[in-house]
Amino acid sequence: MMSSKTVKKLILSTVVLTLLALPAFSAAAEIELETAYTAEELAKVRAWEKTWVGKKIDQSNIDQVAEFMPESYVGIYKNPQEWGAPPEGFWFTIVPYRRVKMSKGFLEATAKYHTQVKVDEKGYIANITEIAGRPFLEPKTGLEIMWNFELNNHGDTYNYRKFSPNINPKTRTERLADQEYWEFYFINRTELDPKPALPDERNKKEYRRGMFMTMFKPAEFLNTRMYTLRPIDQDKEDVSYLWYNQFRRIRRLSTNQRTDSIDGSDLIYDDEYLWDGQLSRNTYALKGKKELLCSRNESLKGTTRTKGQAMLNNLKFERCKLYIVEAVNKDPNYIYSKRVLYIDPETYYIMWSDIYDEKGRFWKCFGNFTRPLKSETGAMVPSIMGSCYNDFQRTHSGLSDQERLQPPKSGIKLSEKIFTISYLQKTY
Amino acid sequence: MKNFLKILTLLCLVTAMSLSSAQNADAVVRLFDGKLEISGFIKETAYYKINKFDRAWDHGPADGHDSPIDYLMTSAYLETLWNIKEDPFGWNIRFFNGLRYWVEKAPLIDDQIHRRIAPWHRKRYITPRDFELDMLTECYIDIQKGPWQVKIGKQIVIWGQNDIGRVADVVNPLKLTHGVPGVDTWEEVKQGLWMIRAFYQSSLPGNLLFEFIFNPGDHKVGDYFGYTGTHWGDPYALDAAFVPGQEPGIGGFILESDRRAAPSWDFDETYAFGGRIMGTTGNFQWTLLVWNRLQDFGLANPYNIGAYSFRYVSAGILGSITGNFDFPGFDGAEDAFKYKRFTTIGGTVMTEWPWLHYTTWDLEWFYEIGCPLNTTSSGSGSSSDIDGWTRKDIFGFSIKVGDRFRLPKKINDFLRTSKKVDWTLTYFYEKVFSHEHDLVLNDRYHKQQDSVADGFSFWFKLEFLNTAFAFVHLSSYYLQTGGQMHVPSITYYFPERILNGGLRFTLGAKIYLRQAHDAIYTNYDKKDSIIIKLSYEF
Repeated sequence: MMSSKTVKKLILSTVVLTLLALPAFSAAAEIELETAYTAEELAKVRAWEKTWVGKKIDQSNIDQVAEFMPESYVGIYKNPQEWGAPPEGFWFTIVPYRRVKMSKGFLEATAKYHTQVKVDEKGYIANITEIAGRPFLEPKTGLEIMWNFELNNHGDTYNYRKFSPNINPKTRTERLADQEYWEFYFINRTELDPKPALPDERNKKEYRRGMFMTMFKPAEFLNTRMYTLRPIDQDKEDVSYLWYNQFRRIRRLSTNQRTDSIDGSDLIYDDEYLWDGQLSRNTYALKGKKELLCSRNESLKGTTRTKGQAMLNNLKFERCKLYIVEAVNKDPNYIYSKRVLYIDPETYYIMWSDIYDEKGRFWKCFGNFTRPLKSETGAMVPSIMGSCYNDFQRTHSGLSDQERLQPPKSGIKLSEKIFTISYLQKTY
Repeated sequence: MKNFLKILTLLCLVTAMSLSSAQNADAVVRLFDGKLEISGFIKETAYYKINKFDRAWDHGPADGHDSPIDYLMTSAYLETLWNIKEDPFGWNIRFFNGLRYWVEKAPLIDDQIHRRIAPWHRKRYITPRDFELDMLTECYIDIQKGPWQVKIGKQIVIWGQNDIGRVADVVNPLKLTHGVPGVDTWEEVKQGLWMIRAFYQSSLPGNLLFEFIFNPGDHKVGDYFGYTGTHWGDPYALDAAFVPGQEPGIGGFILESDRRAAPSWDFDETYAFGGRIMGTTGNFQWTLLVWNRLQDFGLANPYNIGAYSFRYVSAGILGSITGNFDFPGFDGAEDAFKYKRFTTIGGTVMTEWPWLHYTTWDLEWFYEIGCPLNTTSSGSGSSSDIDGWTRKDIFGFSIKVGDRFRLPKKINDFLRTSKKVDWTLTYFYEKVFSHEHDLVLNDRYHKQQDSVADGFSFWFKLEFLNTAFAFVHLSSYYLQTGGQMHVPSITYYFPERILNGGLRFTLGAKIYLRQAHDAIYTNYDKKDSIIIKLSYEF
């Protein structure tokens, strides 16, 4: 039988241990990521929604919501025929704002790691291989916001097929690009084991993310394949190889290629996700916040478009207060003088992007359409369903629809071994 | 075996087509829930000769043309891929087929061309005659599990990365009777070989990939010269028939004799084997290869070629007297020409140099150990003087640099493009060691009696008008011989609404320039042509 002293010691140590462990549990249960609106702000939004939710917005009333649209897109809705609109013009519907929550795995990782983030003198996260989730719960700078964007892992693995017409709205002609993508995150993983990162022996070359792409259209690129590996080291550039099927050749892709436009589109390779490159390539300035109408909870099924039409009809837009981050590339010869990024504070996707040419003139505006997607593991992961790209100097457009040909999938079983030359060359 | 393959392939296609519920959103046709994928192209190509009548070659009707259309080819290529089993973490089994067909109509519409092609080439030039040799480009089963992969069947292997010249690309012989590399696809100019090809993807440092190939005896002749009288062959007038208008001329006779002397399937004699290791070290992606094979074009046997040629010459002399050439045939060709075995080692290196504008660099090299070559005791190095043979080591390499640059914005705005100009520049070099100026090397683009052959090729591409158009230019220049080729072209890509975006129209030109001592470009001299091409890819 234990003595009373022993029993007391046992009880005391149990209490102490419980008290020590409590913060961890309570953090996991209680971590709340930021929302687009405070309670007060939300009340005002709801009041506005009483008038506008369910309303169809078109040429006749776009001015009434112009303050919540990128200025360039107001022009598209006001001058639809210039952009290949059908007889009824362009229109969208307003829906209520809905908060988008991150997955349970993401929240748990955030709870566990956000206090462990170490930033070096350059502003890089020094221990990035050891963390996952959102590093900065209350970002104060443009760079911190971009780190939150960077650590959005799309469910650790992601597969989607991009149906991408490149549109000349003036002539109502278009050329189709059709590509399938697979993404794989080596580090900052929150959904699939191993978490938060692959062990060193599976990531000897220290990559952060791999992307594999197979092309189906244009026809001469059928079964041409490419992979890109992004190093963890912010000072290293992506490594890309292309298998050009028609000539059965492997090409090392130059870093130069990242600023080349993709086929006939208005995008350059850096424009994927509205920014896709090492964060270190830009300087970032937080310019405040702006409320814009975004598609962030809706599927693109149900939208309509005819050939030559630059915008989808029947999009569902909701108000959202977005971060404004101005990104200026450190290369003085970069194709863009700056990008102004509008970032969703709940998902950290770039929802809109204004792009300026080398002379500082407004050039392009791109937009992302996102919604929560149920992953293969059952988690709800906010994902990009499509994008719109418009070049306002050349009146040229592009769209991407990632739900049209096959459903996107997050959290799929995928091996890092697909990012090898031998896999590139495999039969088809 | 040939009939079985023919029936199997056709059955596959017919069944697929008859049961098709094809989706047509893709460039590729998918059937049976995506298990069977079908793609390919149909193409119409015409070469309109610019310099049709040249007095230097003018022998009246023997010039060989009724019209400037020197080439009018309808060709089709079909690929089928049957995904028998697909499991990224288990077994993957695929069956791949490539089929081609063509009709070269120039001899059908131009009597002169028709008459100038030797009868044993004519039919095969116009349409394919043999299913396995001409129509079946590839046919193999691909089995993969984990790090292992095996491909068994007829395959086209590409080990080098150059677009025109071949340095490390040593496995499959070329067939240049209907096209050339860089202009036509590899399926159109390379000959598939039956082989077993095995891969092992290791986890060793550098991600080493091991590849081994064994060809159990499928030996095919490399057709590097085209058929006499055709667009890619010797002009008829060069062929020097003893009796004008009566085939074959001496050139055609020698080339065809060499082809007929080629050994066919013989496990003990005509096998080939080799392998390759591919890896990545730092910023370099490299390969090392070794390949042992028979030559794909034979050497004249100095102990026999004289007697063999004499039969032809004596018949020719008699014919020039009587006016009737009694062709002696090709009996004995297999003794007059021999195919010898040798080994090639080589490799490639690919990298990017950030400090040099992020240019990409490709280095390829080869070393032929004891390459068999003919010799001339006269020291002329001329193929008409052959009286010996020897073996020499030959080393060659190519360096290719590639880059992209952006045109000034004003020009880009005018051209309505955001695409950068894409270009590559390649220098290639080859040296025959212990050269005693007696070697016959003209088939290797050497100037007579010269141990070195080198040159440049240049390629660039500019897309404009929202990539509705692409301008491509390809040039090559041999420094020793002065032979040049320039091929500019513009392609229009039809929009999506027309045949699902698969239609292309190309207008271009092929210009050849040569010096008097350039034996190879003599074939192409007076072949300057406008290229007109319409293709549909699916």
